[in-house]
Amino acid sequence: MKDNPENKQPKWAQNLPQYTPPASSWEVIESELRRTKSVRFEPRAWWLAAASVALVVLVVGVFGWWTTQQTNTEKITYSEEKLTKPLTINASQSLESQSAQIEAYCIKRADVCQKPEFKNLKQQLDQLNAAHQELKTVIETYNPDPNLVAQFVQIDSDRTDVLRKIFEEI
Amino acid sequence: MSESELITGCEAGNGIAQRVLYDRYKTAMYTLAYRLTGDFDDANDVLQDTFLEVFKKIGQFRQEATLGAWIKAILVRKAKRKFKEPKNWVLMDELPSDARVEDWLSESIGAEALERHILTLPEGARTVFCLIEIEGYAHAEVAQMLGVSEGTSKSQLSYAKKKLKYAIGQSHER
Repeated sequence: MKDNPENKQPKWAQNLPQYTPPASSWEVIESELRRTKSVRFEPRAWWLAAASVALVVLVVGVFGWWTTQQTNTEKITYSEEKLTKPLTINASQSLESQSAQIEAYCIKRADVCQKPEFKNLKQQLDQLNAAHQELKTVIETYNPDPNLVAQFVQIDSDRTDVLRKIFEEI
Repeated sequence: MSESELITGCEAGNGIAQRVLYDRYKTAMYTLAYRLTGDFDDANDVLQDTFLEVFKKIGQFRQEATLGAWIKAILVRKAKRKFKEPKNWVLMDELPSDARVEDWLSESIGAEALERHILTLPEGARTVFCLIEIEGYAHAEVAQMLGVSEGTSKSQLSYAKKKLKYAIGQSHER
């Protein structure tokens, strides 16, 4: 075999006929090579493509996770609170004007005045106001009996106490 | 172009390198393919399959053997597909396996006549004779390539030599 660099043939065998393949043989090989080259994606290219996709997925995943972590740790929330002018007890105000102030407040903030504790206190205040008014009429009509006056003072004391509790609720 | 340049070129899918490699080995491989199959069309199929695999797997060539030997091993594997199942090759009567062809091959017989006699051998005997006596493989290598025992390889070779010797003797008598 003249064209085989690794020629281990004995001398007698080297004289045997040699055969050359037809030209069409290479054409078949060449066309097959061209066909497979056009459809074949090199293994290295596959590897690179897979690695690129994995890298993108990893980056997106890490970014997403990091964003979530940031959102969880530094949560900023917004809320809106409608402020109403707080009621304050004015010592110089009369008990009547303080009661009137609470009535006005309840018109604006019905939600606060509907609370059971508040309603209970308000009910006590109304009863005391009514008692105060009745006793005042009696004292003005008749002579001021010391017992009535003492009772009147006690009622006002109770009213003051209830008013204080109401203002605490507010 | 050196062998390593050829390999690098083929690995990169360079068409010129592929063509040069094909031209360098085509005759030797086609001749072997023809001797193994005994048919030009089959030899052509084997040659094409062989080179397609060579170009596809050239990156796996580790240079433990020469490139020619590597291609030849692929070709024998491809040719084997054209054979009947080698394991079914019939065991022949053995001659002394060290009987060298040169000892009984008459110089008077022409190379082409010898080739004709070789091609008339049965498939198993012809294959083993070609691989061992012409290509220089050892029985162990042939046994491994063809998937047969060394005993089968030896008996097929003995039968081939016996048959050839007889055929050559007959042709001299005519």
